[in-house]
Amino acid sequence: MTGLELLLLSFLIFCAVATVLCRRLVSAVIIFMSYSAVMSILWFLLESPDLAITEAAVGAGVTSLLFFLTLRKINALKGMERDEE
Amino acid sequence: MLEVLVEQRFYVTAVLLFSVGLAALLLHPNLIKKIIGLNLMDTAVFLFLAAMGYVDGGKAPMVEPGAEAAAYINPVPGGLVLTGIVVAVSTTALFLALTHRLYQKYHSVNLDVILMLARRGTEEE
Amino acid sequence: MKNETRNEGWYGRFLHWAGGEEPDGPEGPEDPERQEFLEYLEYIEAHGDMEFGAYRLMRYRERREKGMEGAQPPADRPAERREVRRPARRRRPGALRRQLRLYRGLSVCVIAVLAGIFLLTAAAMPSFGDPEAPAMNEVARRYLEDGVEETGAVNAVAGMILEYRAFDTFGESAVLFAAAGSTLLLLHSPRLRVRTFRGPDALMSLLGRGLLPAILLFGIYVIVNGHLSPGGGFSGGAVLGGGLILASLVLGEERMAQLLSTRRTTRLTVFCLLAYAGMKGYSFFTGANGVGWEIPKGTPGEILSGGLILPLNLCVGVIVACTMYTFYILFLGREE
Repeated sequence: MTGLELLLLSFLIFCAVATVLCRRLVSAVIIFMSYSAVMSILWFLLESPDLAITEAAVGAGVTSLLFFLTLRKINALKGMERDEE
Repeated sequence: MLEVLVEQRFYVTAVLLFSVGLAALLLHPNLIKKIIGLNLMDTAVFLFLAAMGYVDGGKAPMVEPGAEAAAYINPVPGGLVLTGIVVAVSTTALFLALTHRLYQKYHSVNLDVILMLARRGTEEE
Repeated sequence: MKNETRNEGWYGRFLHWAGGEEPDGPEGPEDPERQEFLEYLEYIEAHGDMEFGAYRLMRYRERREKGMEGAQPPADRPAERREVRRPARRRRPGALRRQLRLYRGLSVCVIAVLAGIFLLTAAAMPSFGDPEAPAMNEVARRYLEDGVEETGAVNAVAGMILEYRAFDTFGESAVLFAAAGSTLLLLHSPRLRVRTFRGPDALMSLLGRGLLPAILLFGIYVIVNGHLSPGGGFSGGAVLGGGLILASLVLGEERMAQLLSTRRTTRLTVFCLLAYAGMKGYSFFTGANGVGWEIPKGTPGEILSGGLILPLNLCVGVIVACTMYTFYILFLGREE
């Protein structure tokens, strides 16, 4: 159990550093999403399922969505949308 | 040294995450990255609190009447963090809205550029 | 300087990052107005001070002299009379840059000192998971041992935040409402009409329609069962808010806007805040322990138990869900 926790915690630190150093804002937000997901797993391991539910819904869901919508508003997503089409 | 690191792994991680978030908040010129750094600091504090409430072998605090208190984890940090997470989202939304307004005015989310332009604006008044 | 630091592995990248040269995002400036603005920045870097409006007017005249197609006069032209203003006071060059360098140095010092202090504190903390740690004091023990009897809620966290510390939770709900209100003020502008997402593709629509009832049901379950199982108003409200956002993505904003407009979510939030204040005010008014006017606690473990906790959870859940959904709608930049 300790090994799993250590693995998840080091992944957390890696994600945090990566999301700050990442050049593309979109990638930074996506890394932040995975950071939140791992954080919610950790809270489940800490016997706090209510926190895990909230973080999974809020951190990985609503916050990231708000970031994406803001990026779209400041025209940081335009190149990507054209790729899709 | 290593034993302490492994023993206090949650606290050490929380401190490191907090430092990374603070560094991004203070040093990164991009406002979006600053807000992400603030979010990192938030979650670091929450992780610290939740880890402080954990008790070895404790269960989630769904209390059977007449049970020992030692069988459960501490409910106080859980309650604090629960409300904190939701409030953190609302502050993030507020900051993002402010960033959008700044972008509308200065066409940039880079704080250095915004500072330069704002200074130029006040000089001319 | 720029080219030197660019290809030096992670350290150069770090320098590059800390040096503050990062653009707003490499996806880049597709916005023509923004493009013009960047050109303006380069121009004033090369030719000295000038106002943006004056610059646009100058470019417009240049284009007209060349007889270019599609030359449009700049929309706002207060710069015409400003052009003859006295020259701006010259600032010593590089003053801002020097201040920024000082700021960065001080920031690094502060971060290093804080991280050092915190790491030492973390090493000196009572060891992780210690049942005898000072955090597990008489307050927590009291909540766990007498909580079921005093609040009627099996979930000690719900009993704590909605019974012992209900006033605090009321304040937090009010913070949510205040944040939603200020975001509404900041982002709501009649001119602002950003295009919406293109309609969901087939897979997204199928998955979304399949998941939507489950997510909404789970959110409602977590809220209503808040005093019996992990969760409560805050968790369930967040799930429900996510579900509403998914509904708006899958069903289309127009249909959701008819169902749940911003006006309606605001009214719902205010109603729930008032209901919360009323219920808790009543219980404070009759004395902290409800002397003489006690609301029946019911049998712990049944759905109708815990006194006021169930309706308070409902109120908090509706407030949180409405706030999340309002944020989404506002950031979409679209009003009904």
